[in-house]
Amino acid sequence: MLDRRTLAQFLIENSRRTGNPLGVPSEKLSEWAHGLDIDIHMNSRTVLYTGLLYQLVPYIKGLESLMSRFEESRVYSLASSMGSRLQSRIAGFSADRKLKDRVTKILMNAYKLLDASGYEPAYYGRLEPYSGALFYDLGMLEAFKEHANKVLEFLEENGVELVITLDPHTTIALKVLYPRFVGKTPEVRHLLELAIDDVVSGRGGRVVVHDPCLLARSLHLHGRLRRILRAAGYEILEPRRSRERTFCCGGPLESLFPKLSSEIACRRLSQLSKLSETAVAACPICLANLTRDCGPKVSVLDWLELVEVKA
Amino acid sequence: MSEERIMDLKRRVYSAAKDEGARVGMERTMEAFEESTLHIDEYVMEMARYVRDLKAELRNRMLDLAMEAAEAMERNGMDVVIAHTRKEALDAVIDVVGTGKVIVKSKSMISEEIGLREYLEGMGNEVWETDLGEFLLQLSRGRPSHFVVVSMHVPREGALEVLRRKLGYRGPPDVPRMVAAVRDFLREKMLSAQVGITGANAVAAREGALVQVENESNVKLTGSLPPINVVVTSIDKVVPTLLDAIKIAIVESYMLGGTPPTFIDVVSGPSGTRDIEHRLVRPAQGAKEVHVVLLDNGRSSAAGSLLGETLRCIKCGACQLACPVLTTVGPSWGSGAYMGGIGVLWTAITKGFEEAGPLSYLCAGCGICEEYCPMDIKISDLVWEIKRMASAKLEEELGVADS
Ligand code: SF4
Repeated sequence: MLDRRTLAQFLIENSRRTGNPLGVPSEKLSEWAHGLDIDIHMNSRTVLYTGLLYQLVPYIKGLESLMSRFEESRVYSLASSMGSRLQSRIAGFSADRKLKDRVTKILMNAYKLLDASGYEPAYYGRLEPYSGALFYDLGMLEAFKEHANKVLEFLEENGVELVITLDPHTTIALKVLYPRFVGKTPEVRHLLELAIDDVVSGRGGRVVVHDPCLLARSLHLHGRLRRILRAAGYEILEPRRSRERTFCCGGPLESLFPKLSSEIACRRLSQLSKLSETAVAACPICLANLTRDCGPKVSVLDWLELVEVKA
Repeated sequence: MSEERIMDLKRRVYSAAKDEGARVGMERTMEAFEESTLHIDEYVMEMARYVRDLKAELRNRMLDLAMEAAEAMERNGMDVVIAHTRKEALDAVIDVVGTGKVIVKSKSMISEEIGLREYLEGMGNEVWETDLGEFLLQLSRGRPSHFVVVSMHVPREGALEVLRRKLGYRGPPDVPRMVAAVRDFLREKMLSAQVGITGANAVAAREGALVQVENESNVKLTGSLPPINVVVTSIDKVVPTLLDAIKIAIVESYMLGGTPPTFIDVVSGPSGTRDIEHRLVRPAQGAKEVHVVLLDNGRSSAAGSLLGETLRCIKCGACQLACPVLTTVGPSWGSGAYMGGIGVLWTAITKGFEEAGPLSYLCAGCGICEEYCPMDIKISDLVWEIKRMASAKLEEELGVADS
């Protein structure tokens, strides 16, 4: 089993080396934008800030299968010197291919949706720093603050006036946590607040909504999520626990208690599967954690896989 | 904090998560809870807001109010001890109880907090839990997984097995028959016990009265059938008036079950009668002595701290039944008496940060507890604060600078 110290060391060393806690080379995290067939407006004072979270999902999944072997092993209390051994053993972990393709589409779709809704945001690719969200979840405030400072510097250097975010964790970090612990942020808006209903379409059909915790309880965007899905032609089904009372996917426990996080995910999948074979979420952590095979027949998609810009 | 403690916890929760029976029990309980609390009457919510504001205001004069309550209870003929520590509380109880007694006891988290049953048994007494859930846990040597539905991790199949094994139950696997068998067994114990130990949900300072809310009627019987009644409760439960105390009882009941309490018991003195020539004679039908222990154990010093608002908690357990983590791992996420996110906070108050630190890492920070809490306690945020404290030292060791 992995211990807290080794985990923390792994994340911190990676962050120092590559800027992100999983140690993924930054070029890989900005690749998605290469396929965009519209121009990125680099002079804009509005920025699309991904916080790297969606891009890390395929790597989280890749790491997960490797780590599950660690969790099974009886070796615990890995001495801290083993942190670097762990490092080298998992340095070669690879991204989940399928998820990587999905995430690329999700992010391209996000940019197109912004464009179609009248925004012209800059995107800084490799230069984009990580938000620190994972460190916050682990109570590692100092590491979180280090990241926050880098993000704030980045925003200031580029004269950013409006930050557009794509996921609830990054949004809460910038909107609520940075001002609380580090300093003022420019205006922050989640894509769901900006995307216009008139420009979207979709395949249609019945989908059950899995509200991401922070999206519903902290950002109150669950109503907005439903409206845009309806505008794209979907019929919405509500699970046993929804809206502000949504049931956590267990994702935030993934780093320290991976087996527990998968148990909770399976409980949620079973609740969702009672209503439909397709569920929709709006968070990369949910996407990572609810993409698993544990019985219930339901596949979880991100809203950006269901909602597209009308042709 | 040593990594070893976190690894221990990890081992415990992993093995708990594998317990299929427990998972079934908790899933069923959670579903029933969700249905019963979908619509709570506005008048109850208004009462909840009243209690919330009242308790927020009382936080800084908790000890004074406890003294006032103690004086009033003494005037009413009860014997009261304000215990500052766990040890003082146990001493106070043993002073009354002694050894070699048969004791019946209703459920109380305060008695779990101080390990009362185990202590009394260790001192040569025979102790029986009279709340059905606690009784099942006693028989199976389990720990509570919830403040109120203590045995939510024991499904009906598990209950049947325990009764068969420990009580020699031979009846059919249906719940009413099982409950009847327990009733027969416990009734005999209650009639022969010399001491009955109960708890309280709220204490009224002005009237010197204890308020208990229950459905089983075991609290009434436990408190009144044996000649001596010992009530173990804590100073954060003291409110100014009897009406305030009863409001708490009502709110607690609605929050968990969506219905009013079956019984609200008020105890403001030993049983007595003046029916013959208006002279007081004790006892009449109930206990002849009532002894009250009001426990502090970290509460008054927490009042002014970061965790202060935790003291508003009325232990209704709504947050716990809503929690996806607690309902997956049950009692393994706790320190005995206190489990789940709110349990991390109560553990910090009553046992210290060392104990609470590892537990804080099990909180996913999803915030559902705050959605359900009628006292508007920022449970998730406060658990994160404990996590932060637990991680601070680690960060320092790993060389992350304090900026
Ligand atoms: S924290 Fe709130 S919901 Fe949880 S037991 Fe206490 S009062 Fe009830």
